[in-house]
Amino acid sequence: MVSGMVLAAGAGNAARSAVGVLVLVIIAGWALMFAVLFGMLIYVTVLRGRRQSRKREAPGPVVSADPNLPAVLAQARHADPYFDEQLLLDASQLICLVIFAAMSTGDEEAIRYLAARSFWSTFFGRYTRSASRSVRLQRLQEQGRRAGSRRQARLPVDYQALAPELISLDVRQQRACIRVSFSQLRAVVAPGAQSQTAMASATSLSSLAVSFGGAMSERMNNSVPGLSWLSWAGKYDLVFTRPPGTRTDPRAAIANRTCSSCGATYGSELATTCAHCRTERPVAWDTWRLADIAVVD
Amino acid sequence: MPADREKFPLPERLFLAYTAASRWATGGSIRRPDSPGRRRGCANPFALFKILLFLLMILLLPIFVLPMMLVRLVESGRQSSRYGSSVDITAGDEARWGHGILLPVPGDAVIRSGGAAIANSDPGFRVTALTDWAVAATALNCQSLISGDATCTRTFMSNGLYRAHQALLELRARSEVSCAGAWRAVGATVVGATRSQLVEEVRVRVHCQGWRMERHEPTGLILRGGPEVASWSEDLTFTRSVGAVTPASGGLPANRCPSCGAHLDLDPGGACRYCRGVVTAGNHDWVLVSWQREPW
Repeated sequence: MVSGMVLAAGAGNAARSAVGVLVLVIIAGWALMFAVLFGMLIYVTVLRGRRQSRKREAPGPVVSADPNLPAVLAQARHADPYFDEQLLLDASQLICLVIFAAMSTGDEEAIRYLAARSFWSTFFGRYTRSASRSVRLQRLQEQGRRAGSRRQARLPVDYQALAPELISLDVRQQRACIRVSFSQLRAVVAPGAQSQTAMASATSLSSLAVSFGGAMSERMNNSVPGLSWLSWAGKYDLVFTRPPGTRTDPRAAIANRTCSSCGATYGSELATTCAHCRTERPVAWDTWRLADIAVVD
Repeated sequence: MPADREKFPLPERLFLAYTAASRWATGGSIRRPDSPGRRRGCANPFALFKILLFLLMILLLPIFVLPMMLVRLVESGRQSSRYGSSVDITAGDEARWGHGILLPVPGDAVIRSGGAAIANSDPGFRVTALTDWAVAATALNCQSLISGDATCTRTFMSNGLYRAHQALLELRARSEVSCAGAWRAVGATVVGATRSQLVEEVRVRVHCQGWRMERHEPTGLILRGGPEVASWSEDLTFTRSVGAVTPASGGLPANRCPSCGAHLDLDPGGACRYCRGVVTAGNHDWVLVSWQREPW
């Protein structure tokens, strides 16, 4: 009987210790989660605020187009008779739109098809991958809801760009730099949409705190979905590369319109494979791939 | 790969499982019995279990969310946070009314000297051919937005702009964003003409009148515009390679192939069906490379 009481007391102690450990883990988890979340938000917000004020005070120098471009282009055509810089300008226009698509719908398949593997280790590659994965996760979460009760949507509404410009071309390294300037507009439909979007563009801790509070309270109150807007505009240099010694295949641009395997016309500009036979679609600008993107101040 | 078949990393699957369980726990109303004759609210043991599960899920939130947050943080690294802060994102009304602001118009003298530089190397160059073309293009742009099909713009858009425009229309259709309206160009003026070492560029500002409206079909929400008649401007920028001259047939603005002079009939790749030359690359003739709409 005594040993039974000792065992029961031991089991009680163990249970209490287990509950104690669980409570400790939960408290530490909450503390760490808030520390990470607010730490990141504060870091990005402060950096964004500093950057904007620096830009207002002293805008950075902008590298303009290489003055020797006509000579370099002639040299490129001599080495590769079918080289056409227009293909790269076309590529830059579509790629910016494809990045917009990835960030709005989470579909990054088209960028994978147009970008070099090294692109994913650049800042922009990581940023795009992370943003598109978040959209896919959100879409999965929303899939469980009935159509009528879907309460969050980020809609790609508009995309406008200025004419792209060839900035430099390195024939030996097979590297070209194209400058693009664009503006993308997304509509956000969600409860507390105004505060949600304000959080994304906050440039000070106070504006961040206000918008965070607003977004949370409207979500908790289960209020009616509202409409707000997010826009991303800027000037960027797109760097394209291809393996050294490569020559342009003049058939590439034509092969890109119809499937070489079954002859079907590609129905979508964002398609990377043939809808009928699943054969991979050739890239219109042959072996040129997006390698990096840099912000132009 | 569709999102529902994608294999997310373990921390994200953990998070998905968490959200699915919370959704299940919060599904249905505790005020209504599950079936006739069953008890309501906390008197229903099943509903009580769901409430307790939901409270437990809230308590355990960090255990499910933290791994995903930390893995992403490590993956993206400090440099990416720096980059994230350098992306110019604007929100709310500032985003809507800042999107598509047209470039300022340079002085008349600058435009005239740019036009003269183009005309010097191409005696056949006529500004009116481009302004008339811009007016005609506006009608086709309107048609493409309303129908959601860019095919009608193939004859004047450069290959890059055409593909981007078609892709944008696809994206909008997938998100169930529609456009309705009827508008036309009531005037067009040249607001920019330049000749660089590689390209010649002419920017035409088209003044439009009519109504337009964008809607999100599932919610019925009007995103932009409305049924009221309004006026606005659009900038259409045409370019061609330095060295290209106006063809005797008039070229693309006159609805003729700049390469063989035949009546314009292009395949989806922008190649003339008669001579097989790709005429929408900007090497032979003017093509539209940029289309900007005033904020609305």
